[in-house]
Amino acid sequence: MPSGLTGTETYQLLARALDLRARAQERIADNLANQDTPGYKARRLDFQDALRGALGQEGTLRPAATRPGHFGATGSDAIRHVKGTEEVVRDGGGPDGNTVAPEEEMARMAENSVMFDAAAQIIGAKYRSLKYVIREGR
Amino acid sequence: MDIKSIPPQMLVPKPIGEPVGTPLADLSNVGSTGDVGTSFADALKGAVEDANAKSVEAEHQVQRLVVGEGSVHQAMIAMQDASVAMEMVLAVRNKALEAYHEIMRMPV
Amino acid sequence: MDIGTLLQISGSALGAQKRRLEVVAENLAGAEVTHTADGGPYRRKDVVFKTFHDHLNDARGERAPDLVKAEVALDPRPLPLVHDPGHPDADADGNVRMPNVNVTEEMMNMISASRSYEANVKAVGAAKQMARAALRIGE
Repeated sequence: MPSGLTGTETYQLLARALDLRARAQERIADNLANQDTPGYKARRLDFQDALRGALGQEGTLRPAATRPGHFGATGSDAIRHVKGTEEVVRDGGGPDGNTVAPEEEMARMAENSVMFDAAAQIIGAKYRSLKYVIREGR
Repeated sequence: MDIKSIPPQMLVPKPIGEPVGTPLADLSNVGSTGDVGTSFADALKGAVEDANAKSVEAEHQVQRLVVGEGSVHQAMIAMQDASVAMEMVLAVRNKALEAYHEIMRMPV
Repeated sequence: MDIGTLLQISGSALGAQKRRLEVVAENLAGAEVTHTADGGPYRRKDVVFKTFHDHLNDARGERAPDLVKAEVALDPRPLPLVHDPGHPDADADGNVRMPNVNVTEEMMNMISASRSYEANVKAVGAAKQMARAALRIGE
């Protein structure tokens, strides 16, 4: 897990976003695979709000924890523990009870993979520039 | 720099031929005024420990990836973390060496 | 939550939809067959999708993904009796027991199966792209 130089909020945020987007992609793949399975209920993973909530200002960490071992409400630690909420779509299904809307899932998939790609590119660039600065800084 | 922060042994004149400075390992006493600031030795030690921990973690993530447990991005992030930490060790070591040579070149 | 799992999920779907298309082809081929090798008219085959789990995934400690498989069963709907005295298999009353295949239904099934197949092909593409992006982190 990143710590020290790479333990800052942005690194943690990007790393966690990658984890969550990978998990979201799994749900989307499940939905697309089971779009013709009778009675299958579509599942969604939402985490944008949870990530936004965990994003605080480093240094103004306000621990809501009253016991040691609990982490603060915001900051790097909190970001690391963001799980997102999984929602099961029960309504709006066809006559066979299947609630997968393929076009919606395709749209989500497009957004999800682009955002994953973006986070991966950004974190990669950050690591490369950090290493450059360490090497070249005299 | 506060004169009180210089260890007494450096203020005592030494016979010509004996090194004025102290070995790198002992630099932990130089400039220490209690818990204010760290020395090069402390910084190097910290950097080495960090690099070590991160390289262990990177190995762990790579193993997880190979047995089908982890994920590509987790392994890559762990490897980059370890790589950055190792660069830090080299940078601190180089700076420490530079500073040591600088001190050694000082006319007494 | 990685490419292996994603490919397993989408792979199972591609296999299932492909089976569905095969069954459509069989049904279309048998739509007019009144006399099969076992005697009697062709009976329509139906494909039902079922979710299943690969319990090798349990060791990873995460929820097992929802894989899908296609189960083929005989369509229980009755075979229609059509009045066609000129037919070689017509009975004494001039009626022929025809296969219970509805060509329109089969065509709709085929289109649906193709669409689902394509969607899962895209899912495979997205998984590969994500893996490639993840690998570039280490460059």
